[in-house]
Amino acid sequence: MHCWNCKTDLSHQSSLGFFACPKCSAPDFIGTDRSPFAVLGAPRQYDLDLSELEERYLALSKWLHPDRYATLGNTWTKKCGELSALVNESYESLKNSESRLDALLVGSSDLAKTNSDAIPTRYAERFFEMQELRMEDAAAARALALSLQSEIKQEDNALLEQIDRIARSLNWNKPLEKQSLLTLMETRAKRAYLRSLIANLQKVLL
Amino acid sequence: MSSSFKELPVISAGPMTHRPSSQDPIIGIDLGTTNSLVAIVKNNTPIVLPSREGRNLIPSIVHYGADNNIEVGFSAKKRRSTDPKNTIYSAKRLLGRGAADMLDSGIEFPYDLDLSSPQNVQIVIGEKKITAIEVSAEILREIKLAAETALGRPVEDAVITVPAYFNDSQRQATRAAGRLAGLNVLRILNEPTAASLAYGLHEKKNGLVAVYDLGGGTFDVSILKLRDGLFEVLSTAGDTQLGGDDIDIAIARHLGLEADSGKALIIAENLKIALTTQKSATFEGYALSREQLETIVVPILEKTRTAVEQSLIDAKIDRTELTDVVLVGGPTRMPVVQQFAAQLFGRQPNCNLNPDEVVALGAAVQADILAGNNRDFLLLDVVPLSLGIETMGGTMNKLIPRNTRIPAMAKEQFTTYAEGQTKVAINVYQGERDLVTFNRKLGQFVLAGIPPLPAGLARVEVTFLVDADGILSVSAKELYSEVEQSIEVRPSYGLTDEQVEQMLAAYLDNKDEDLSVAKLVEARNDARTVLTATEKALPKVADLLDKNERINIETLTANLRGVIEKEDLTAIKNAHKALSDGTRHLAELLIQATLDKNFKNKNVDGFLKKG
Repeated sequence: MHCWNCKTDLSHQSSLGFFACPKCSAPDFIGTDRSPFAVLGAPRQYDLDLSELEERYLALSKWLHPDRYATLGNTWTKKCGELSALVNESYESLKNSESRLDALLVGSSDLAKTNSDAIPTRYAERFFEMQELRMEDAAAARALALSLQSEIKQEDNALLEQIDRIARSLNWNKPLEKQSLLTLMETRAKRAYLRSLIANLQKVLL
Repeated sequence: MSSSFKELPVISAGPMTHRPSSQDPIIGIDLGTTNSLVAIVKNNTPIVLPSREGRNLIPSIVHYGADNNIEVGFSAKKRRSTDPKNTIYSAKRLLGRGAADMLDSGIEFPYDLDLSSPQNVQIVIGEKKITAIEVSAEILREIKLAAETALGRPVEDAVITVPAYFNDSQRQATRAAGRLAGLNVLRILNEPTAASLAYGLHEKKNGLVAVYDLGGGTFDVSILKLRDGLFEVLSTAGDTQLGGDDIDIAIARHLGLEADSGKALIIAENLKIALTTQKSATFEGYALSREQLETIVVPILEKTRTAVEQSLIDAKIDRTELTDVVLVGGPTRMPVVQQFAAQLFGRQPNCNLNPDEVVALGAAVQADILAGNNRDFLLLDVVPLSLGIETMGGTMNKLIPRNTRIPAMAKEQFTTYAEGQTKVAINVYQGERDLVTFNRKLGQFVLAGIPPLPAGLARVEVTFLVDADGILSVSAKELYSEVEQSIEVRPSYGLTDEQVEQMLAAYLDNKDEDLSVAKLVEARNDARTVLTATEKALPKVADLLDKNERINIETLTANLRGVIEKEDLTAIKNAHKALSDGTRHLAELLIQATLDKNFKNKNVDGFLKKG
């Protein structure tokens, strides 16, 4: 592998991740692992120190943003634009816990098929009840929608806590145990469903 | 926390990223709907450069007179009531827009538009039809001349601001206008973001700042996090068809005037401006009170409420967390706008900065950053509108959601839906709606040569890349066969790149090169250098020159002084050459004298440099 700018041989470069060419200081990224954890040099875990993550993001941005290289011409701004885009994308994915879990699960999701029985049907029944009621008694339907929504929100929060608990306890540097993976995937599927219900109720309420 | 972050490499000596001071400066341009300004950073302070009419701002108005006589600025503004059909104002509202956009917006102009081509609104000037890009290029040309005159050197590189909510075609159209004016556009910068740079430099405060930017024709709101020179845009929202113009039209209608007549708008504008300081005003027999103005303006301002609320939701902050609210744009001088913003954000807005100048000053700060002179500041901006492609059923599949940090990259895999399908059409859209028909189409391309596979088996990977200007390029690749295709998405913004280049070439051919102000300015400066040097040197070596030679030099100096302020480039150059030739002996004497150390520590730079 050679430096894209000065063509110096970089095969002795030992550390993975972002580095500066020892000869011309041109930045680049080494390694096939382009997961957001590798890009930001963050430990592969669910529980991240967010202020440390932000510090890292800003340090990399200050170094790699194409505006820093505007005087050096298009090749530099294009290359640094791509590196910067990689940093932005990685930070976006690790910044909130939900997409961070997605990033941790990349590659493992095929191991567990989501069980559709896990989806709670009782809310759907009440949702349709409420829809029918709208024709007869709008005020009553509204009241029902409100109480249903707050009930679903409560369950959703409980599920979120459950996900947090499991995800924190796992060692993400080892292959995952099938049972905890299955629980995680199911809980996530439930949450996705509950949130689509919350959104639908919101539309009704507006 | 079990483990910690990997250490970053230590960057010892970075590459040379400082722009040499010998290179021509980069200017910052606020190309506004109503007025335009140009600024530059001098000694770490941004300053607005004067126009050639001796003002700080240039009205964004172009008058197309008889015999191709084009006027820009205040002189064009005067024509608004006498020649409204050929006096083009608010061209920015037409920039990068199609006929459908204009019909939707419902705005009217006293000049004629040709809406027959759906992609491209044209302005009718007598027998000719021109685009808003060409009108904007005239304004930018005037700005370039103003900067060159004020700085005394040629100017080519520029940062031009656009409303944050401008879509891809409006950005591309602005870029094309810059190119057509002979500018090298280094950056298209969002106006509220530019304002925040000027604010940050002025106030030197960290915190969460909302920028409420109500311009002549557009409205933007941005939420930023400022921290030690880092300007992070958290969210942006707006309306590209809402601004001070709408207030003028509403006032004209209230007065029972035809809103699309030039005269009516002049009356409305004058009343509006008078009412920023007075309780009531009268202009040409029409009277208006501040209370009446408020009832006219508030419904227009109400339209900014949704965008403000959206921006706070997208930034994931509550309005009480804001540490400051900055008002930008001429219309925010109106007390009713300030009150409305105060109520909207729940705090008194900051009025320390000049709302007309703050965007241009910020553009100059960004120019200084790009020149490598300001290593302390860095701007991290976002895309204002979601970018995606059309999938089955006409749905919008978003690859890059709005408010994603730029530069941005996104990849997504798609598949074929028909048996043996060998081609896929990739339609690129920008907008927030779930169905593509309600969004703006940016471009289309076809990825061909896919091997015939059963439906759903081919894997087409689409990559979106948005650069620091917020401009998108798209590539697509079929992963089995590695067939690849990439395009820079070029939305139809009114002119093709080839047309812009042709028009630029034609303009450069037509203009009499010797009349170029840049050359004139350069010649004047060179002449001044020689004059100063001669006048300084003459007394020092006076006794070494014979009388005739001395008189000759004095005559030549007077000649050059006589022509230096004239518009005649050849005369300046000739007089300059005559003086240089006439002082050759003087220069030799000076060099000799220097060598003899008789003139140790005396300034002879001017001669040595010019040889």
